[in-house]
Amino acid sequence: MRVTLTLLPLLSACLDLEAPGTLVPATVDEDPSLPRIELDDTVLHGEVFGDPADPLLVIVHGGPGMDYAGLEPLTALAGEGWQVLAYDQRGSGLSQRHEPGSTTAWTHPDDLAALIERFSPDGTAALVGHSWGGQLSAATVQAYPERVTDVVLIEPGPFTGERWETLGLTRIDMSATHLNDLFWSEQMVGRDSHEQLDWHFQQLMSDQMPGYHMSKDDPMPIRRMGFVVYEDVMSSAMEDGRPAWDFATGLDAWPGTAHFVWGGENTIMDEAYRAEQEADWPSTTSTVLEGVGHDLPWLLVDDTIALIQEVL
Amino acid sequence: MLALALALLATPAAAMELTHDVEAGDQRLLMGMASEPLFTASLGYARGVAVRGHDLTVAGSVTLPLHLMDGRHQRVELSARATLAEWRGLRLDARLGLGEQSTRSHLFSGVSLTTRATLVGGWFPERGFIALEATTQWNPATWMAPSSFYLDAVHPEAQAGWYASTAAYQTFALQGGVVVRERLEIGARVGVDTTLRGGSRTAPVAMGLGVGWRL
Repeated sequence: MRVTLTLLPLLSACLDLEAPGTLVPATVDEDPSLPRIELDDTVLHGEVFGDPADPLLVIVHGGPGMDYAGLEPLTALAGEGWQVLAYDQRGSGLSQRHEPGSTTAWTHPDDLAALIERFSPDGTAALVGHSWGGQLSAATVQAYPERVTDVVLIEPGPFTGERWETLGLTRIDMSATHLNDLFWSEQMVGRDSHEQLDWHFQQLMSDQMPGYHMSKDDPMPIRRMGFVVYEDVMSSAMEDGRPAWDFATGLDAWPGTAHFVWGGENTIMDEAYRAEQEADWPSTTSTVLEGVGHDLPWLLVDDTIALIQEVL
Repeated sequence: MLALALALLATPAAAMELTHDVEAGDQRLLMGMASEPLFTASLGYARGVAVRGHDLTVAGSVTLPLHLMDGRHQRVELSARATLAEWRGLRLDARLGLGEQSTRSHLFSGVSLTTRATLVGGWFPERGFIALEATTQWNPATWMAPSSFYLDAVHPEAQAGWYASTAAYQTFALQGGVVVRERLEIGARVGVDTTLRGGSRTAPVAMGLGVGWRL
């Protein structure tokens, strides 16, 4: 009894893992100081930089579920004749969380089109998409071709489910130590709240694919990996347990140009994959930046900005 | 050599004490593997002691992930087991384990206080046993500290400190064991993990194999 009475005050003084900002960053609905953009049914973390009269350029981050922290340096384009919108997609990063089942892969192009309509002086925009952001850019061109003038696709994820399977992104590296990190910590941190799920997801994903050749010395920052939105997007794009999305059909009729940027060290997105991805578009340019992998827009900011300025 | 070979094939005896009888003065070296659901390996030591006329089995064990024998994660547990009731070959035992479970990834370091309470009831004849087990595992608090990577690249305001428990689990299992030789006994358990708090487990299966070597 004495032990219990001694422990109770100690336990009540413990931090709450689910409290905003303790282990996982607070989202826009929890921290009023964060920059925000309100849509009809959600609040996004995001900001617009530059002159509202300038043409709009939207930075579309990777994931699904991640955020634009690693692409934030690209907002420097705002001083170069662009109005730049950087935002965390619905349920991702510091944007408002949503309950499971409320988002699909096709919710994101709708959000992006709504943002273009709100901020662009002429209702169109150029998109700079990284990784999943490249897939989302393609999906937006597919659904709203009249809203997109150009796309810069930096290491874009597979535009089709079939290509995803070939790429082997769902294969688990059984030699990786982060599997131990994930399962061992399950007994210490539960899995029944957004914060806990995000915490576990970060452990799982942050070292999952060595073939991407991401820098460990200068890691690309991520504010929050949104587990629920990742699950929602992936499950909405599966049929009979297999990836079934198709963001490629119809791209060949789009009048704009897709500018591809690849990291030369990425061994997952090899030459065959790059050629397949580029073949979906009627007009393309392609650049390989040597010495870097999937995190090239973070490691080679100046080169990436110069390249975007050159092609757009 | 036989014990070593079995230990290499097998799962946590040390944590589960899949032993037959450890009478006062007896000593056991315990080795095993388990699925929690991560496959783990354990090494432990148990000794029978008499306290005011009652036989207790006190034990200590170290457990770590079997995969890569990953020393960044480990659990140390001290336990005591006593027989609550006995009638002919039937027995009801209780076991209480206290300890720590620590982890270190590139995102966090953490140490949990651990408690594990077990009831084992079954038939314990001369050279073996078969019993039902109910175990409650609760980590009342965990010290967590974000890594410099996490502070630099993810969440600069992440707070280090004691975090209240967010997970507790209950295991129901069938366990059994046999005395193979004078000094060697082997045991096994299989059951299900259920969640008291913390969401469903990745794989709600509890399995274990263990070897006890009488010293």
